[in-house]
Amino acid sequence: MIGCRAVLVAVVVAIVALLACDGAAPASGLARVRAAGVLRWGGDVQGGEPYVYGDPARPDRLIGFEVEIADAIAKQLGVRAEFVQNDWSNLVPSLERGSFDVAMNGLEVTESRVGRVRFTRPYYVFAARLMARADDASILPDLLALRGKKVGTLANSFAFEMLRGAAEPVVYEGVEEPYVDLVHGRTDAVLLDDIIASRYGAPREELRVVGDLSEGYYALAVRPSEPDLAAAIDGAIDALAASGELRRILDRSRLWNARQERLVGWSAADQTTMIGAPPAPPPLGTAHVTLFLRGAGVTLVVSVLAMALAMTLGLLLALGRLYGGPVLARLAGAYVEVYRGTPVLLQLYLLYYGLAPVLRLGALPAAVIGLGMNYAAYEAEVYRAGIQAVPAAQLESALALGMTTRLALRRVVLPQALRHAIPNVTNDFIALLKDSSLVSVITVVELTKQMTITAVDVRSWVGPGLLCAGLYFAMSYPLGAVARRLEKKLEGEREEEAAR
Amino acid sequence: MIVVDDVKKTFASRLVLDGVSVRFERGQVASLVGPSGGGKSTLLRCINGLERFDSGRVEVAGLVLGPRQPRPDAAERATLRAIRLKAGMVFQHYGLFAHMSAIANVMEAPIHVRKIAPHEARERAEQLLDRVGLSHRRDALPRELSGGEQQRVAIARALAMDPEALLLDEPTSALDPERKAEVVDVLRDLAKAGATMILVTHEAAVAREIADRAICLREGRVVADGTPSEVLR
Ligand SMILES: Nc1ncnc2c1ncn2[C@@H]1O[C@H](COP(=O)(O)OP(=O)(O)O)[C@@H](O)[C@H]1O
Ligand SMILES: [Mg+2]
Repeated sequence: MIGCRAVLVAVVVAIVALLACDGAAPASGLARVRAAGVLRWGGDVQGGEPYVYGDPARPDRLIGFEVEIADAIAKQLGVRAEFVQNDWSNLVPSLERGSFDVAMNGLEVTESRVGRVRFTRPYYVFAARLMARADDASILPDLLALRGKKVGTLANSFAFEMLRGAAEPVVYEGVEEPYVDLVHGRTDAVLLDDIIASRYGAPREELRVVGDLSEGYYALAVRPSEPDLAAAIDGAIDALAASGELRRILDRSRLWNARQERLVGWSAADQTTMIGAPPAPPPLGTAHVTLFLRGAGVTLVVSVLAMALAMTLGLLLALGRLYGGPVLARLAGAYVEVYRGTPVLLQLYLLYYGLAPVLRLGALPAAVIGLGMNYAAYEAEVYRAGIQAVPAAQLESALALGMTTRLALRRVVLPQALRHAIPNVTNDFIALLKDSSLVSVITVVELTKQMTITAVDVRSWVGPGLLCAGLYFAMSYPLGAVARRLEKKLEGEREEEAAR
Repeated sequence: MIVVDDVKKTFASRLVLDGVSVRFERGQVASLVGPSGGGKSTLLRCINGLERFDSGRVEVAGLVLGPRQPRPDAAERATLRAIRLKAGMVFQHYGLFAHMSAIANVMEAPIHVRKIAPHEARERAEQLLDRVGLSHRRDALPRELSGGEQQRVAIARALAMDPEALLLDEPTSALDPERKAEVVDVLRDLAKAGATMILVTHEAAVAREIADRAICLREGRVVADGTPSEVLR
């Protein structure tokens, strides 16, 4: 219990220290940018064409309409622009902790973001575009008609906030995957910005555009503590819009349309309307706690089932490797090397998206199978070590009594090997419990994902972070205690034996 | 009833058994003696198939084992198991199943190999533990038993399969004198009861007391064969 409290205190101290750093930004952002001669802007190249992406002709060079806008704004400020790669879903927290001066990457002006960052005036007016399968007439261009439908979107996006409470949102981290899953029937529709829909959804023959449900704005996000930088960028965008430069840039990416005309002559009143009155963040309430508990439930279910698979498959692999004859041993060895030698994230991607054309797994089964097959490689090694720790004399005695090798393994070698393996298996289960947060890349909303969603909601990481950490801890601490107890017991037995 | 006929065995191109031929009769207690490294353990292990030989043949109660095949087939594996049921083995370091109590060790093979009903196997195991003087230790785990106790359980475990012969590889050499005596007592009783045994031992006194015959193995060859007093001069 003392250990438990000490860890919690450490977590709180770490979080408070992080928060303290946030407040330490210099007073004038503009002065800092000018002094450095560079405007550092954060974005994610994974968002792809046409935002920021590698030039196909020269992949080391970034192009895209946002690159051009950043360059043009920087020029207006008398500095140069520098791109900083950052995971899209964490652009706002990274901005807050000072990883770059501004964030710009299809960052929509949403209620929850307005409460955390200061938005400049917009550089693009987007539409939230609904797409469905071409042969599915049941999807209508009406948010209320989506009730009960599974609708793909990006986590914490404008569309996600629209869908919450109206449909069953399925959250993705990339822009290609929602449409892939829609084609494969894993979802009923996809709601995303028109740019994404026209580049990644519309080209697919199997899909159709249902309609636009709403409009919104892309703007640069600046830290609220640096209003002078925001004002300078407002001025720069104003100048770019007035001179026609903004239109030329958007035209080059075939993005100019009637909606964009609003950007010219954008007034202070327009800005106020766009931002609206920042709503008070909802407090972390029982509704959130319920969601967290559900997330913890998903984490636990995925982990337990994945571990069951890992233990079974791992045992078969270990047996194959030790007793399976040359061919099976080679195959089992290759399995272990491949699964341990490649990232589990990649394995999840391949299993869920890569195999989708031939094997359409649901997100939860894919999560269990993906994690289970990965951990099987580790369990196989744990069991192999356990089996090798059983003295050869045990197997010989069993054979000398007329047992078949199979019976001797089952009755004599494995029960002892598994005992040796228990502490390591338990430790691996704790590791798996935490690694299970990776399955959010294939749309499973488990504990960590729930935490990031809630953190955006309540505009703070402290409460959700502590709650999330506390739940993980509550799940892993008892297991850790069991593992330590077993380890001590086995250690004691070994010493007892050695003492003879 | 056990015939070893011109058996040759090499380990990594080293000749360990160099054409050994010897017959062991039913009801006879033979002791295998000779210098360390002479091939005694290897010969025992060849008789019950834990080690395969390169040429020659071994016959145990009518079952014939030939030299090692590149790929043993099902029939050969069945012969191996049948031979192991006829010739029980007791190892120098006991080899009790570490996760099972004394009585579970004794019952294990009768239940799972001979398919004897568990209650019958238990009854018989209790008799055997009584016979080696350990009925009070039946629920102890191997690590809770002394070496002498472990070896007596191992003997009871081998006897539980009703073998026609017992192969014992230095059953007393890991024990201190007191424990040694406990095991020798058990072996003497078995010998008196007419058991067929092949006993590898370094101890002339034990061989003289228990065995009818002594065979000396040196550098893989039988160099002497006669009564213990003849061979162990
Ligand atoms: N598994 C093995 N691999 C290689 N050499 C072995 C093996 N077992 C025994 N030997 C060698 O065979 C010879 C005979 O050994 P062993 O039969 O144990 O002799 P003994 O029991 O008479 O002391 C020794 O030289 C030993 O080193
Ligand atoms: Mg030996």
